[in-house]
Amino acid sequence: MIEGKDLRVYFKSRDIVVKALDGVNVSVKDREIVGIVGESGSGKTTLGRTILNLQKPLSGEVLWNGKNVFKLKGKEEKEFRRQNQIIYQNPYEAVDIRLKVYDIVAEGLRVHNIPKDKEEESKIVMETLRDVGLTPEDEYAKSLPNQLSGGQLQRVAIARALVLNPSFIVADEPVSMLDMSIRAGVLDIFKRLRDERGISIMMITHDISTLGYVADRIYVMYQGKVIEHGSTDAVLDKPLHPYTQALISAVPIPDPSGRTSLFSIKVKEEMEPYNGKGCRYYPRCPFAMASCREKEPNLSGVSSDHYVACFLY
Amino acid sequence: MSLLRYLTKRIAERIALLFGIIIFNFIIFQVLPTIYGVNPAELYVPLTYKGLPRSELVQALDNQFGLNLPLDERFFVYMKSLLTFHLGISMSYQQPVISLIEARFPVTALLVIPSLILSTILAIVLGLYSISRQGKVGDVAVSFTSIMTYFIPAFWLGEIVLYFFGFYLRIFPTNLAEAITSSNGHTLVGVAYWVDLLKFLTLPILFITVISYGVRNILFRNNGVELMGSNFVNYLRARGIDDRKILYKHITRNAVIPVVTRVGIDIAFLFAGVVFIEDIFNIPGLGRLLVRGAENLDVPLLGGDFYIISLFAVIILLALDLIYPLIDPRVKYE
Amino acid sequence: MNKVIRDLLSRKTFIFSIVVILFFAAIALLAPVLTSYNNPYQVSQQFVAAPYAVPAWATIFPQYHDLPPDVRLTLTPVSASGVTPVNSSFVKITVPAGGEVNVSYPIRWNWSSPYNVILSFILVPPATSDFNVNLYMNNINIMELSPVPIPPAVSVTLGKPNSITFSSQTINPSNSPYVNSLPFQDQPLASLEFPKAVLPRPGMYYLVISLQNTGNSPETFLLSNPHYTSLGYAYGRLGTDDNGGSVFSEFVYGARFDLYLALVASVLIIGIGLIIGLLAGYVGGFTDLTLNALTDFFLLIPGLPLLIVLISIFDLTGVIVNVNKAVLILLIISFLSWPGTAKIIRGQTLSLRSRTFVEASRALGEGKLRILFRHIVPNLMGILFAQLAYDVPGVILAESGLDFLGLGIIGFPTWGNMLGFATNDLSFANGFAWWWVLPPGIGIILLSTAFYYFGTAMLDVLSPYKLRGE
Repeated sequence: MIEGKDLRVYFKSRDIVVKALDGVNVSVKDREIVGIVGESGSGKTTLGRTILNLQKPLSGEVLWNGKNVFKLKGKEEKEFRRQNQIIYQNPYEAVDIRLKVYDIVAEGLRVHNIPKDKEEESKIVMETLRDVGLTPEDEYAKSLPNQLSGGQLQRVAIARALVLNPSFIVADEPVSMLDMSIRAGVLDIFKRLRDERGISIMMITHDISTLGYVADRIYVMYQGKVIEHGSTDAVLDKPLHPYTQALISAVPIPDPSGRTSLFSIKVKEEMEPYNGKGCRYYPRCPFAMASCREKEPNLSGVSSDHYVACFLY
Repeated sequence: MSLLRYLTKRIAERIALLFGIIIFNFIIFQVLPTIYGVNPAELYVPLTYKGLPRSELVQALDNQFGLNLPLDERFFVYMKSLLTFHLGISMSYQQPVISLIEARFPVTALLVIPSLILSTILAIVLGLYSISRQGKVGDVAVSFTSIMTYFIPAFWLGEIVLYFFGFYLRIFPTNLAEAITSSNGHTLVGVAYWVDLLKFLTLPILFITVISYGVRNILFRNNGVELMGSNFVNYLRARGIDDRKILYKHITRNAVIPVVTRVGIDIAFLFAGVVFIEDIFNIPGLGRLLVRGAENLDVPLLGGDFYIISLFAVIILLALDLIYPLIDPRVKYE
Repeated sequence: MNKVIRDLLSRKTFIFSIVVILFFAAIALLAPVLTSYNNPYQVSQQFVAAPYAVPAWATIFPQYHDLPPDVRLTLTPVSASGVTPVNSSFVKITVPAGGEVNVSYPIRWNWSSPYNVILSFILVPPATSDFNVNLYMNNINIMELSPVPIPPAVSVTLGKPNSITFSSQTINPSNSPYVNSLPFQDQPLASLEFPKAVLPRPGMYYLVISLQNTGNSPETFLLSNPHYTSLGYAYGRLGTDDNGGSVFSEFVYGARFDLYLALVASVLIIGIGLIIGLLAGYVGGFTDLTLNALTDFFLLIPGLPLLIVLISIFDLTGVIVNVNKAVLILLIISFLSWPGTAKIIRGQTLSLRSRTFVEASRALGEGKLRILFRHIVPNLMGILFAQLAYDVPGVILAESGLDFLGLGIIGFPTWGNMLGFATNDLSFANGFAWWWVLPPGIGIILLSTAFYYFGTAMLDVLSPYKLRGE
């Protein structure tokens, strides 16, 4: 239902060009949670912002139900904004902390003139607050953001997105700022949204273990490129790309016995700078071959639900 | 590479600023009078000068400034005369404006530069004291006094200081002419002249020092206090480096950068900043010249003095831009 | 909102600023109630006391202890033979032929000499011309009234009421025997010397009106009780200036003008600064480049000289004839002062614009204008209030400076021209008129500091993003 095709976003800072997205293809289907994983600087956040037309790409297009979102105008653009929402990493940054929780949540309703009157507005807002687990809702509605904890405020941010009854949500590291103990609670909200309301979600994270819990499919990004993607089970059980393997090996596992096999994957200390034409990962790749230095690998399917960009396969 | 780009950009900016100032002068001194139906030539010509009749002077000025030309053509003639420092003849002094300015420049410089140095030292010394006793009574007192200096009208306190030290206690001479004249009525020469001149200037210099250290002190203190709480200082402490050494070496070096900028700007406005002090202490400097020009509505003097003041500001700002990368390495990456 | 107020009230500096600002605001608003002199620079409102009179309360200090206040008395005669009261204000005096009757009026004087002495009374002389009236004070013949005026005698009309006024300030050799009796070189100083001669120190003094009948039959005089007035050297709350104008009135009306000017100018400055800063920061691109260059330009030309030059040129070209000078100064100061505010607003707008919550609003489908007025501007309120407060001292100082240099307003009192006039007068000869020199300066400092702290408090309390150290 939403699909990014060959997206390229370059940032220029003085003399250096940073390729945040370099020909990324990504799609999210109905009722699906898609995970985007990668280290900081891999372009995953840019991808989320580009998908929602918050960042204009250099080239490429985003198709939303077949329509190019960068060319939407007027009513259609408004409808796109209503149906597609974003949730940010830092909830303190993402809300105007002058406003009360009620006003933060009601903002979207007012922009889109959804409720007929104040009463209906209040009804919708309260319902949504209850939905995300902020009860007693009338008390939360009256409070200011700085009176809430990170987890509570992230729920407010989720409520703000949900109140418009969207069909697609980009969740940009929604739990990374939260304490471990409350992460599962917030993640459960996303699972419920998919199961009960049929909302599609693009979950952006640097923590691959989170995705194992919620995602249906996973894209692994490295320096502006998708280097591996496939169903969650396939990617997590049989990671192919050395980078994916390294990501998974870095996840702490409660049972030490299961870890030994993964521990063998090491990351090279970066010895040489990237030469500009080969595989982006070769400077750090323990399996780098001569060909890796000369040419970039393309994504190719190893099975129907598993693709990787690596000369090893 | 980026340093070069920074410098080119800054030089271009300053030249644009200079050009803007010339346009601004033109608007004030040529366009405005023309709009209000005043012939600029009349504003520019004294009744007589070196025995020449007014009509000839008008003609000479017309040629120099192109005052009889339409405004658009006049602009280029005007620009040329400013760039070549042909600033006209003062109506009230009946002397070329440029020679008046030349004579007064050293006086203002002698007044401003020592006080600039003294007040910077005072600001840093008091700032170090404040930083080392942050939040205690001493710090609060110093900071409060510094903030007060922003708001004390210099002309007011100056008169009071002059009254008490000059007239009442008679510690300092109050009259320049008396100060540099020997008892038998001749102007002093050589060392004696300079000694007496400095004696006369001591009070105004000290006064400027006291009235102007505040801004720099607060800048230095706030920067230093912020740095004291920063991780880089925590790290130095963790390495076991003595607090004194951190303060005198690391903090001072970093906190002094904004102070340098500030001092640079103060030098840039050197000609402008001491209008009140020169007026109060009766010092024949550039500021007083400007006030005299305003009192007598002496247009050539006003225009010339204002132009030189602005020009000097532009030049100093440019110099500041050029040396800034040497002081603050971060500029290159801006 | 309660939290904001509680937060503000917990700051000592804020309470200080509010107290000071309210104090001056009250003075400014109540000016017509507090004083009846609305412009002591007008000649008609000068000489309410002696020039350089100290404040009345200063007489508690020993060196001012003896200074007299303004004194206004209606003198009543000591009863004597031949003096009979007609009613409460007139007495009838019958003088026998060839005789003389002295009517004595006691004056209880508790101070040192006053600035001047004015006596006035009504005299109805007899219809014949055979009489002479002399006024004595402290046994000095100060005035002579005669139907046949030979200087220094002053003429009176026979048989009709004559309004007689004696003023120490208008005495000269032709109207006062006192002046006539002085050595020639002292005569020009008679006005100054007179009060010292007749009321030299505390004590009991008498005004004696001596009525002489040179005719052959008894004559009757009617005499009103004389009014005595003198200007003193201790006056009101803040004494007087060099023209005997009330410094308190000047201070109060100066506060009124300064506050008014500062607030209007600051609002103008904020207005211009907000519009330019918002446009530059929010629109960005070429608009930003142009506006930023313009801002830098005005920031970098030396302000005070430009102010002086502009005022002079407007003066010269005659604009001031059409426009009120105060309005012109207000406009020029505002026009020259906006760049600082614009720069700060621009910076804040840039920073706010790039914040996640602004992007979040965009993601919700909010339009540019809605984001501007619903999220950016409200978040700038703290800065705006602070700038408003910070601009007030700047405006007051700039305007005072102009007035001080004599280039600004001179027609009515402002703190600036009070300082100018007061300090121009500071010299060894005049002494240090602290009651005149200090109040406007202290007023400026207090008000400026108060506004500064007010602004700082507003900034801290009203800008949530600043509070969190970002």
